[in-house]
Amino acid sequence: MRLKLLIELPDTPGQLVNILQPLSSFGANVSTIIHEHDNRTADGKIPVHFTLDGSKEILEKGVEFIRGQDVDIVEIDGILQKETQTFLLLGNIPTADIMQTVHKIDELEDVKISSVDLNIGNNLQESVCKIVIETSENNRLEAINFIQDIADNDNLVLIKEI
Amino acid sequence: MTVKKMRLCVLGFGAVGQGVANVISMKHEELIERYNLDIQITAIADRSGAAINPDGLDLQLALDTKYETGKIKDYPEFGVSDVDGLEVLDMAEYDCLVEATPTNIDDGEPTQSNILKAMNDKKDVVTSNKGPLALNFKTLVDAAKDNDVKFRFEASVGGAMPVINTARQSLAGNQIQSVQGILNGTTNYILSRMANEGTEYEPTLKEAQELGIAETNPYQDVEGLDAACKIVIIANSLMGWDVSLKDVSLHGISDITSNAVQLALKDGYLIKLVAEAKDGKLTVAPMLVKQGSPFAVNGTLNVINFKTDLSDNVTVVGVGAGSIETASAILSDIISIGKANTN
Repeated sequence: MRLKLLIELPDTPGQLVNILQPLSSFGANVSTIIHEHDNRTADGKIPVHFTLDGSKEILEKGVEFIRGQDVDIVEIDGILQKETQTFLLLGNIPTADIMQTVHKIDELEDVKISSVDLNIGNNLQESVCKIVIETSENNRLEAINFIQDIADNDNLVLIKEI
Repeated sequence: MTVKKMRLCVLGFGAVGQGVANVISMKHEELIERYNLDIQITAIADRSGAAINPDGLDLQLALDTKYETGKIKDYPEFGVSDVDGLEVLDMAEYDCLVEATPTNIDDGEPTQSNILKAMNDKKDVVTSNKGPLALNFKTLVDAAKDNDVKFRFEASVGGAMPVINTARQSLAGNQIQSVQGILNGTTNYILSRMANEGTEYEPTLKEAQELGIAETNPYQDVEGLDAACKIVIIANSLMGWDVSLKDVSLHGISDITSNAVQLALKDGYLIKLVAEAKDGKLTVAPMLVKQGSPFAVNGTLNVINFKTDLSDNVTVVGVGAGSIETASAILSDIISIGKANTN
């Protein structure tokens, strides 16, 4: 059997070896490895594609092992396991208030905030916040609808990714 | 093959109407040679009145008259004053109406009445006017069907960028699942300048007005109404939806700050005013698009992406406005009607 994986690894030495060596020891054969250095994630990780060959049991054990290492698996055989989405919140409100909104988003189930970038206007009354979220499996649309509700309630403009 | 005469009545002689007179004057011989179509304009009307000659107007003279006096009624010998569009349609001898009066998004008039009268008189119609199409699309299409006349409106959607004809002809057989696009050149110019120059919204709008890119009253452009009309026309005509302007969730660009544009840029995103017909919903709102993506078009350019069942994504980029560019879309509709009627 063959399994194609897309994972995200921190850009520090030894990260890939730490994953691949144990996989080999399970009996899995790593046939392709492609790094996407030019396509870093918002939190600076590097997407890595690789293909594993082996029996069903070995491949299942391999995926379980990778997950156990706290490594983000983005795709398995082309099926998204995790999606990231960038959006902006803007409004004529003090920074503290916009951060309240960020907290509400952070409390949403199945939504993980991976980065927050805040820009405060000259008069300290106009704030813009860029947020990158991660959602699992297919709940991206649902998550963004919840975030839209939060933004509407807090009188903020939500600018979503196309 | 015999040359077929096609007589046009042009209502509205502003930038678009004059553009039509210009391109037909420019291309008259070429159209005979390539399509066996001898296109003549037998009537032109503006607010002042009309010029009507069943043997065809001298287009250069019509353009010169408009340039010199601002009124088509001053056209020598054949000028008529105090007539409205409906009266001109009764007086003129024509085969196809070119409706290019200014867009009215409150009730679509007088365009809608002009179009319906022409159809009831068994005349074909080409229009660039978004108003009645965005408000009462079905009424117009049904009237064309009932009267067995042709009705084309390519110029109403993306100026010179082929939208309707691309979908209907080049993508024939495909089902269009969703449409996303930047359908307003003025807002795209403003947002592009804000990203490239780091300027604030108000001075950038002023600059666009000084350059003639934004109108003195920019409301319909910057608040997204123009783009909303276009996405309604696209959803009705290409996706089989039955919607009107009131169904669009609308947010313009006037609250986009330079801070927001710069913060988006830090991660390689641009803010664009995007119109979409997707998942049963119509939306016009500022959205983030990746730099380098097909949506990252600069200046006054427009772009549209069709997500289809067979061809996946198909994207078209083009100039969305301008006198000659819009006239080019009208001309393509006129030729297609002329060719169909010849066959």
